[in-house]
Amino acid sequence: MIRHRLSPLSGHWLDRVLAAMCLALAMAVLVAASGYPGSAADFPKIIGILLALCGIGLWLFPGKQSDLSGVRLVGVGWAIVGGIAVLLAFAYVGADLALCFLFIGCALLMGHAPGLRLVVIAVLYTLVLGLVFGALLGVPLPGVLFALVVK
Amino acid sequence: MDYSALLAAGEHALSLWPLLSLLAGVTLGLVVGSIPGLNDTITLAVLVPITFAMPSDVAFPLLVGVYCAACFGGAFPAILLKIPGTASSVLTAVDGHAMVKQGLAGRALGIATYSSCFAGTLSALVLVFFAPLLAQYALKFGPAEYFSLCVLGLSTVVGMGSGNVMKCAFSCLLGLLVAMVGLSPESGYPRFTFDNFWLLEGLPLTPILIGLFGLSVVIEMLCRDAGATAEAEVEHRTPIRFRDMLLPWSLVRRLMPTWLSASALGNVIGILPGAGMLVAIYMAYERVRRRFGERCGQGLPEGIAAPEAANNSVVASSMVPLLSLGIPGNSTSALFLGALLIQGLRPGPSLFNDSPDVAWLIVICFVFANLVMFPLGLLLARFVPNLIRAIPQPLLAAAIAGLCFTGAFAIGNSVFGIVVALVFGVVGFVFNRMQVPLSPFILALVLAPVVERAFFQSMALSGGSPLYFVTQPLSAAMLTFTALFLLWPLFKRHFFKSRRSLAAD
Repeated sequence: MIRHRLSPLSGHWLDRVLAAMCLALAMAVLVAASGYPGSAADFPKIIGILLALCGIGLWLFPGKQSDLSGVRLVGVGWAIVGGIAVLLAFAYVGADLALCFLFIGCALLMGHAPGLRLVVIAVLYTLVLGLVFGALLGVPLPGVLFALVVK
Repeated sequence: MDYSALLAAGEHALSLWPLLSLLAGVTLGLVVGSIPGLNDTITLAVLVPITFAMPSDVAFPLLVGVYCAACFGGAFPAILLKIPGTASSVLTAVDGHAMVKQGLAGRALGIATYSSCFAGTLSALVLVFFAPLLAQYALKFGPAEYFSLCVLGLSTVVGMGSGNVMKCAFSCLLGLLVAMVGLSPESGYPRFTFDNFWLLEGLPLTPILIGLFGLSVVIEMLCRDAGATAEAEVEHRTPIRFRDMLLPWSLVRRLMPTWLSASALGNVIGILPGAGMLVAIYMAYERVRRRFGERCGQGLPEGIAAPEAANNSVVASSMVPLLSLGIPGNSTSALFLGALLIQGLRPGPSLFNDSPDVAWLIVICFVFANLVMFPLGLLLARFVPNLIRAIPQPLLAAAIAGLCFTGAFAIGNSVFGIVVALVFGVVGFVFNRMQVPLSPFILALVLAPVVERAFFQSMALSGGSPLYFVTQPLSAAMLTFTALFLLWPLFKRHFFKSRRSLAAD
């Protein structure tokens, strides 16, 4: 009757992982909510119970299966590691260098040829961002280069 | 209705900077809409942080222009390359590309342009007349009505959303949970903050949206196999002449009923919070398929007109609940909510009273954007295939990543925004891959504080009786619709089956 939207035919292991994670999250929410006083706990508890029901539903009816075709898992790893590295650079080195590295890293990871041209484009793009945010929008970005440009 | 305010807003929208901003928005929207992988939501997610230092009469015309035009821009690659530029043009590709194969590329693009602009303008007029009326009426809403309305929105997005109902529900519940982070609106007790100072005020909305819609796309681009990206090859390089895109009067008359019915459908679905654009285009296309049978899918003009009219109708009408009730109709209007909040405005029934100039400017910009879209669309349609080939994907991904990081930082002038955007970028990527829709998450995230506050206010008013929600007539009606929407997946197949058998008879 409801095969289309509640299809039990999917067999992808990721869908089972999602259901298991949903159940684990429900438990965690219920445990955390039990420590809250009075009305602060009401909504989290309701969400926890509904998440538990949803986890059971997801296990039984995972629907259209997850699609991992054409995904380079190495790329996912690089994206996450690169993101964290840029975040740290943003905080401790400055936005100028972080954005420059981000641009070059992204382009190289997607198959752009390395070379001086890419570096020049990255530096120009970073400068434009610094100018737009620093000078036009009044949001100074941290970094030595940006400070000079905006001055 | 305050016609003088409307006229003043119209006059203001036609002054130099707002008009330039609108034109820039429409052009940008057409370009990003026609690049497969980019869409209105991603562009707005990147643009919203940039607009916060702009005056509101420049920021909103830009955002409105992008929103209106990106939806239509998706039709270009859908027709010419059979690659939908946006999800909303997925059905346009079927008959559109069939017409291209018949050597009617110009005609197909013309039909898409006429349909989009006609339906878009009609829906903008619906916004002009309905939003202020509904806002006036909504001023009488009490907490019970607000609670029921939000629950109705959440049930719509789960019950009528595209994809698996369980995954829609999971997305919605996760959105509600993320919204619980921070101080409880009722007691002020910190929830899910883990003694972290940054989490006390809750997670900021705009970096979440930047992550879900901007960074997730960058991650998707970085992780794609090189072989999978090389599919955007133009099969047919039929020269497109400008005069081919101008439709003869006979064809306009023939398509008029399709435009009107698809627009009506799109407007109704757009006004419902959470129902979504895909529902509208599938329903409009289904009507055409029932009427024309096997001719549909083989280059039928109505096969382009119906989905294009339906998706462009949803654009402006999805702003009705946001501007009049403060409840976004879909993910893109949730970004508008972010833009309004950034500009220091309070979306909701009081918007037309407190900031009539901005409210009317937004409304009238939808009308102008659709009118401007017509000539710009006809002009740009011929150059889009070359444009798609000219933009190197690696540099595009790098540019989007840079804007996302900077935008997330700029919102609160802190690295915490980037942390939030990164986390939700990964969440968005995983959701996309696991076929979990993002719209229920966004809607739940925005509505959760309203639901909780309205619930406790209602309880206080009624002395703790939950019956209060069903004793208020409007609230009871909305809760009835909520139940119907939640049960809709159970009856949907029977409903369509019986209609198909009736049509066959």
